[in-house]
Amino acid sequence: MQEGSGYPHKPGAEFQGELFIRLFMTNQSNIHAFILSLVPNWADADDIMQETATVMWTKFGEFELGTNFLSWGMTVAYFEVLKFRKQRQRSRLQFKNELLESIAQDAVNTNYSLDDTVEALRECISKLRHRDRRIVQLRYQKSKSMNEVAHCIKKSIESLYKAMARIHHALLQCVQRKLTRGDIV
Amino acid sequence: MSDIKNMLELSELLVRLLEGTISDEQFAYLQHQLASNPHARRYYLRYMKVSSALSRLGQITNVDTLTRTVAKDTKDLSILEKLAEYEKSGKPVEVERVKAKVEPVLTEQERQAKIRAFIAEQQAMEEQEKLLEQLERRRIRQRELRRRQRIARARTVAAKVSKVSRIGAMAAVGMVIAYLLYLVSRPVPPAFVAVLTDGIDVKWADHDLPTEPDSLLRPGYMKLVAGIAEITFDGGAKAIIQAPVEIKLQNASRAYLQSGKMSATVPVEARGFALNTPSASIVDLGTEFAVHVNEDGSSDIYVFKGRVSLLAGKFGEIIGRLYDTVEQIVEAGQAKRVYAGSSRIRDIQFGQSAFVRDMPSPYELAVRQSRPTGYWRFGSDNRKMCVNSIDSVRHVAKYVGSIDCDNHGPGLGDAKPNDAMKLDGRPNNYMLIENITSRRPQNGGSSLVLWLRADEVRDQSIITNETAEGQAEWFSRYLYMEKTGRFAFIVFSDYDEIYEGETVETSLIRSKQMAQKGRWYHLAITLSRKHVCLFIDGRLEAEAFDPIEQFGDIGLSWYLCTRANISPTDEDDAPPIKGAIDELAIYDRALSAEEIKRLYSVSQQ
Repeated sequence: MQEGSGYPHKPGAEFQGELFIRLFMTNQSNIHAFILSLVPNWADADDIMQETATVMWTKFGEFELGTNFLSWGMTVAYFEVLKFRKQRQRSRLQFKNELLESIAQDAVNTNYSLDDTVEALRECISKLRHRDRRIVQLRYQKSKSMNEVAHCIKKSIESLYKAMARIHHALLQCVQRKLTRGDIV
Repeated sequence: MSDIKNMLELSELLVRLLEGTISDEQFAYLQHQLASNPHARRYYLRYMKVSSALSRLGQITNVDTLTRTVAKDTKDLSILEKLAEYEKSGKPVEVERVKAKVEPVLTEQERQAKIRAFIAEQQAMEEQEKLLEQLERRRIRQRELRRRQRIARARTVAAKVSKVSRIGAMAAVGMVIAYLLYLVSRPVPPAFVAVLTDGIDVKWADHDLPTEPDSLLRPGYMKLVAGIAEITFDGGAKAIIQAPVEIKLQNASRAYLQSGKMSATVPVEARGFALNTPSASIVDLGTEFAVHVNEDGSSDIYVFKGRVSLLAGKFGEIIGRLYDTVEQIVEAGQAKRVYAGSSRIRDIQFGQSAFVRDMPSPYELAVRQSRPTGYWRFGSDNRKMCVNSIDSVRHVAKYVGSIDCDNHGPGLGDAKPNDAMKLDGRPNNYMLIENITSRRPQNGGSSLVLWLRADEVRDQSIITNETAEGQAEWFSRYLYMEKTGRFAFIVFSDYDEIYEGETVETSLIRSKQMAQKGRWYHLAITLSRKHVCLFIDGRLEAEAFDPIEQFGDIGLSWYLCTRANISPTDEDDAPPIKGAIDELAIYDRALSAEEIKRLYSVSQQ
């Protein structure tokens, strides 16, 4: 918090901090998507993202300006994923090592443009039926749990999973169409 | 994977996977599909991409925490502002190779050392502040002592000299003492950091503090014992505090709320305004929010617009726990409680009711002071939502159909325009207040106060009632206008078991005066077991005695307004009123005639 009269002026640190934040802001979506592909669980992916961000900041001095920040970020993220898997090696929901490597390889090779995806997604959400849109809003914008969403829309949790699967699929198809057609500028 | 059914099945598995509820068998099947089926793999990767984008729709999680960490590491808070600007512009960043003067990467030890140094710096500042406070108190004591000495000396002198010489001597002594006092006690006052821009019945515990609008305020502790004060910080943030409240102005963009309620409106240029409490620190990220510091030191934070960054714990503790600080971004429409002595943050029911968010009119203040249980103001903020500004949990209200507000409401004792709820005379547009049935007059009675404007003088319903299930049961109008322009009020029994479902009118009172078209009237109805009264513009117009003694309880389920025909088959019912309603207040007691008179008179100032 901004208690106190201010902070000492350190030009190098300021520059470094601002630069890092800007680079991170630009690429964090892709890094998060990469992590989520490897650890497909909301909470775990968020934890790993948090750790990745901290490690990236700590090691930012090692990053050579002008090189690919996203690649560097994905590399850091990959190691954080491995670290996380080691900590949770008894977890029943872990991809096998070969599959993980294979997914990571595919994900790195994918030409990600998550900003376009987000933009397309917004448009696609606006085209959802009212009830489906409400489900998306409750779950992803209001961060309600699945149980809470089910309660809000007066559906059973099982039928909510089915609805959510349908919505995800519809959004995926819609986004794909938009990106392929180049609707998103 | 071309089969849509297969894709939907896969989609469901992935939803369950993301939520952590997938079974072992399902997970094994999914792994197999991903390993062996390239279509499934492609679908999976696209799916996670879209899911990641979905998860980012409403949240800012990592970046904010990270940004704060970076800001603290580099001691550069301007990063936050730059980030905010960057977020607004949303343009892609092109980074050139720059020979920057890059600081060496900090080791964990170095970072901890930095944090310790920062904490020490903060502690030193706090010590310095305490010392300054002590000095200030000592200065005040010395001044008081000197004042007494001066008076005693003046009395001694006065006893010895003649009247003329006494005056001269007193003047001379006074001047010398005043000069000495000036020399001794002229500390350099701290710069002004805020302005008392408005206030109603402002009373500070410290009588030296200003109460007039446009008074300048210096940093320091202030205890508001009565009234409402609007403080505009030099940084641009506007705060409204409601007595009782204890607050300390710290600088042009920072304050410490020790207890009580405060709401803050922070324009873009003032973004970063910080409010500390005994249990939390709140940094505004461009918004409107309110904080209530409870007696136990816990803090309730409500965000009305934009968002704030909330850190749990005392400031010193927060800095000490830089890396495991509980931080949350609180968005508009959310409310959180931070418990004192712990970092626990819990969701609480969001409500706008408890806070004054704009300087109230004299009428609003008078209504609030009369402690209604429900108060609907129909302001511009409430066009879509029907907000009870007292207790939205107890009395839930909503608009049914299409309701609009205009700014042609009645004058409320100030020169500001006032919004009102328009009633278009159509039966399907109305306002419904629920939970009114609990407001029965067995104990202290009940009251209803409102402003009303009829755009036509004719037979028309103002308030009607319905049963809790939403089905019309009573055909009686509750409050209505007769074709002559007289206001009338019916009391009836709702005891089915006694009257076998029949509606029984127990009392009918009507005003003497006849309403004029387009004029605002202040209506008040008070009910007790012995007495029913109708007031217009602060004056008693009609009354009836013992309406309930004979017939029992009174049912007070109300429809407000335009739905007059509660039952479409009831041809006797009057059509809905065409006009407007404003400042509707309900009470769980019968207001006295004096109270109603006062309510009306403050609006005429």
